[in-house]
Amino acid sequence: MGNSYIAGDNIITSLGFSTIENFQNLLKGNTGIKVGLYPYLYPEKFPASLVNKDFVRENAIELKIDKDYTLFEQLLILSITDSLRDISINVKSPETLIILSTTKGNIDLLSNNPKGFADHRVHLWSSAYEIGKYFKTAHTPLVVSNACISGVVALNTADRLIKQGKFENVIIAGCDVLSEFIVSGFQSFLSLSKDVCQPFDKDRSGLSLGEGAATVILTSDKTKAKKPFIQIESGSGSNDANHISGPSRTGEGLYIAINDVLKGSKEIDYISAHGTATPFNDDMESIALDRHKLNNIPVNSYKGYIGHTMGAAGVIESIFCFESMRNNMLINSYGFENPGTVKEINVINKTESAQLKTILKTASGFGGSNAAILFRKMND
Amino acid sequence: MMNGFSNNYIISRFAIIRKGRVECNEGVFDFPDEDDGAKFLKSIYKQLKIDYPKFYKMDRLCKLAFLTADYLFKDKNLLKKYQPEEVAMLFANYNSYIDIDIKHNTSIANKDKYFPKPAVFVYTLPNIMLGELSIRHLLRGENVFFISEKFDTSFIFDYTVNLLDTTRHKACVIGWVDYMEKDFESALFFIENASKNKQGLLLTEENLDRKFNTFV
Repeated sequence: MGNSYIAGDNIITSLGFSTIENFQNLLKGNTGIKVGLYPYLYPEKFPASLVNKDFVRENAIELKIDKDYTLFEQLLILSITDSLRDISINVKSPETLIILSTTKGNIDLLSNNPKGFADHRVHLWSSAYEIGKYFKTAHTPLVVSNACISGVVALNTADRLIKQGKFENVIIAGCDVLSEFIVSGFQSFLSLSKDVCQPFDKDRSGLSLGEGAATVILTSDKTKAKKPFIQIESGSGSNDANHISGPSRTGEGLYIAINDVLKGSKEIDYISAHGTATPFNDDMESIALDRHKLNNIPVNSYKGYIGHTMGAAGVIESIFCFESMRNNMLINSYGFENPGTVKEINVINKTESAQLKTILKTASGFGGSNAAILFRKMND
Repeated sequence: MMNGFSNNYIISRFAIIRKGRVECNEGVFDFPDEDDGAKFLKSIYKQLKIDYPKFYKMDRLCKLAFLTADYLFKDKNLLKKYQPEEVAMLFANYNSYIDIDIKHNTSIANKDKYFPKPAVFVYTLPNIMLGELSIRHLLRGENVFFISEKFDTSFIFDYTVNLLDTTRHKACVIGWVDYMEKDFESALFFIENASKNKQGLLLTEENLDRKFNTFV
């Protein structure tokens, strides 16, 4: 039984097409969320974080994936391909598994299918099959679809499969593409903000949607891991058993998940929260952190930079945690100005250097679901 | 682990619903109206003598999961042995929520009714059924929802044994709940340590497979 180390990663969002490009934009304080008119998504102006489609097209043509794959699948292929660059992980080996994390995948095909993809392509397992075929994997990719916590659940699943000795390498790729389907759904909850979202701020008024893809490669073979070594310490989850679309008033599920990964230790240097910027979600998170007396630990949300990227969120935000550790930088929680959660927490209001060794990442979502994962940077 | 070849877990309870028929530890129950899924589900609801108004708000896939779970948890002592956070749920299906996806999509295609009902949108997420079951039976374990072409007994067996061996969970509900047009299928299994229940079938890949295919 080995540990899971990070061997490679990639992020594709409005802020760029690589991990470094994305992180550089965070350091500069740039948000990718723009208020605009996107008629194919929604009839009125609204804020969204959108991937540069021209750039996707150019890259897709280069890889010859422009005709046979949907936008969702192209993003996954581009992200996985970039994450594999310059490292010695064999994607075709029976020792390697791909896990896809998404909420709605190719859902857009239901109303918009000009290329005439087969009906079954709207199914997530069908995309998984296509991705497996493209990379010539030994196993059909596994698909995790657990609403907004999918990315963290996929990482936890991968970590367990590696620690169990089932696979040497697991490639976790998360992706969701914005569609009218998703935007109208969130609008129906009246949960979207009018401007760029403001997680944990007293004036927060809802979330901003984003799209993107991201990949993390985990390996038990330390010689293939990226330096500095970052490992997954533990992962957990819990259901609130309270409400299917509203956060728990006591933060019960998140409290349990955090409790399970910390195992009594309070030695964490920073918390990457879910922080959607809806009034109830951010309050719920503050309650769960308060119950653990983690009020003083620096905490932020990345949703102000790239919006809520749904199935990709947990993967993207985890990679931002890795970059924070690699660079020893705490990133300003974009959109936060004045404290305004029911329990006081230490929201990061300025990007600055700090020694980071242990990071707690959390996620919460529809269905009362919560997940937590602990990352640790190793000395050697 | 008892030894290197087997584990100490059992399938102590099961409940399976397919067209016109329910099978669980208590026996086999046949229902009329087998061509109409909605009527079928309603007659099961009546047979179970449940009073749960929220049932009517659920979409039919969620109703299917809900009713199967009520058969699974007919043994009222089953969950008393565990803390809510000790019972995990590991579910999978083939269609995700395509059934309700199409409904949501039809609704937004009509620009006069552009705003779909929140209740419709939230049910397009497959893990919502896990939320409903958590509320109904007070389960606060971890949840995972996989989408796969078939009920992959080999993977699910491995994953469950590992989950029970290495995490805080002492029991796990394994589920396959799928609905598309007129076809539906739901199978739930309760897995716990053999020392916790006098009755049960040893958890093996073969037994899981055999139970799942009981009356295909």
